[in-house]
Amino acid sequence: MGPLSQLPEHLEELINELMNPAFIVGDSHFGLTNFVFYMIICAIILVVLVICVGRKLTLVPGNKFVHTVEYGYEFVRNDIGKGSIGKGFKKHIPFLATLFFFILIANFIGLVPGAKAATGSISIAWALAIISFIYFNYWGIKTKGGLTYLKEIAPAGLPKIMVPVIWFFEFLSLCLRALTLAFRLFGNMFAGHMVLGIFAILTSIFTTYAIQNAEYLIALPSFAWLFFLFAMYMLEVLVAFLQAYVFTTLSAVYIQLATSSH
Amino acid sequence: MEIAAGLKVIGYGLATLGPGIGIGLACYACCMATARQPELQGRLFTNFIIGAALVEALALIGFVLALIAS
Amino acid sequence: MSGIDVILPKMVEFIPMVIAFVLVAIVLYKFGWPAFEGMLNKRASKIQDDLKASEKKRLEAENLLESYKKQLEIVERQCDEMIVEARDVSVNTAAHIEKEAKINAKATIDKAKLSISQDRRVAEQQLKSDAVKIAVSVVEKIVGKDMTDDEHRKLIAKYVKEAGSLKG
Repeated sequence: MGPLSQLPEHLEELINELMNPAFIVGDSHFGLTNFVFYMIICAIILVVLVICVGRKLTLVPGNKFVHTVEYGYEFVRNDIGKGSIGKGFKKHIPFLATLFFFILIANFIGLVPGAKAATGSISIAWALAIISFIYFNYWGIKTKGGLTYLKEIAPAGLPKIMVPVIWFFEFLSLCLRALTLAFRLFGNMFAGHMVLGIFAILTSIFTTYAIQNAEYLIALPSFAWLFFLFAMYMLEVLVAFLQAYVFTTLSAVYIQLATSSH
Repeated sequence: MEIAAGLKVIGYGLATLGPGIGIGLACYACCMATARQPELQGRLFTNFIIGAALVEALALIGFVLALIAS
Repeated sequence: MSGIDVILPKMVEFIPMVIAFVLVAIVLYKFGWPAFEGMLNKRASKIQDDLKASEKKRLEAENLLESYKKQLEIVERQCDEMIVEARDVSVNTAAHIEKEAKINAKATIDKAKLSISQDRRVAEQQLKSDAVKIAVSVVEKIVGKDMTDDEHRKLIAKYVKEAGSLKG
């Protein structure tokens, strides 16, 4: 069919754009890619937002926006922190709150047409996952002591023969936590933007083909693509919230598993 | 080759069967237990998230291998 | 597109991300989040203080209500007693007055009866002597002679006896 034959080349272009970052400044070894550019914008917005809202807090909530941000902080503190970590959750809340708000703002900026989600790049997702990994291991070693922490990777109450085997697989699972955190975030963002891109490409291909070749009936499926594009946008907003929440909750659960004494 | 690309996709598709059923079962158990005793909801939800994370690791390894297999 | 370097992180993006995130985390830890935490704690402690104060005031109000109720009970009881007393006193006074009135009436009636009987006796005596005088004068006039005192007396006694028996 006419329009669909132009699809593969546009697809190549789309995948290239999403997976390999385009450099604004500099070259492949020391430059500024567009993902890093949007990530710096996210960081600046986060710092400005939190510090300005922190100045305006009142005892009885008045301003709606200020109260929404404060509700977000209370959500991380009570539902994620106290619910998942339990005792001694207060000292982890700044890190978890920074993580949650950073991923949330980065995902939301990615929804603006033309901008890229900072977490849609594999290196940035890796960076977040490795930071979380180092954080919970550090706190585990600090709470329990180095050797006890390593010994407690294997669960208690096993026959002596099986302990080395189980310990090896548990250690592998521990190292795999960083990989899964990174890929969950990256996969969701990458797939979401790719679906949005495909529906946009389909709409534009069908419309230009219809206009170029004057077969106006072919422009009709464009409405279907437009409707799907709109529905996928709603889903992407939901996924933005959900991925931030899942990342933060999993980090909290890993912290609890590492620092609790059974 | 297109067959290799197609096989990658088929391989990943097969890899999502198990974790899909597994996470669905974990969510079902969490919902049933919360319906019986709503005051334990926090602890049950934490257990569900831990179980889902362990199961989802397999699906994500499948996704990674579909990308890197050459 | 394939090969393992698709999933490995590229350092050109990795390092700026790590530096930026660590900087943001430190800045917010020092300046950003303590304001939120302080506000949440302040709100919770204020609500707790307000609850305690209102609980104390409620207890005070209840005690006050109890003491007022007790006072009201005492006053009511006193009122009832006074009413009962007043009724008793009034009943007693009425009986007393009635008794005295009866006694007075009886005394008056007795006195009246006494005076009536005295008057009657006096009137009887008068009547007796008048009847005797008339009889004697009649007899004198009939007999035409003077009677001596003894005959007077005998005649008087005889007629008094007859008059007295007729009277009866």
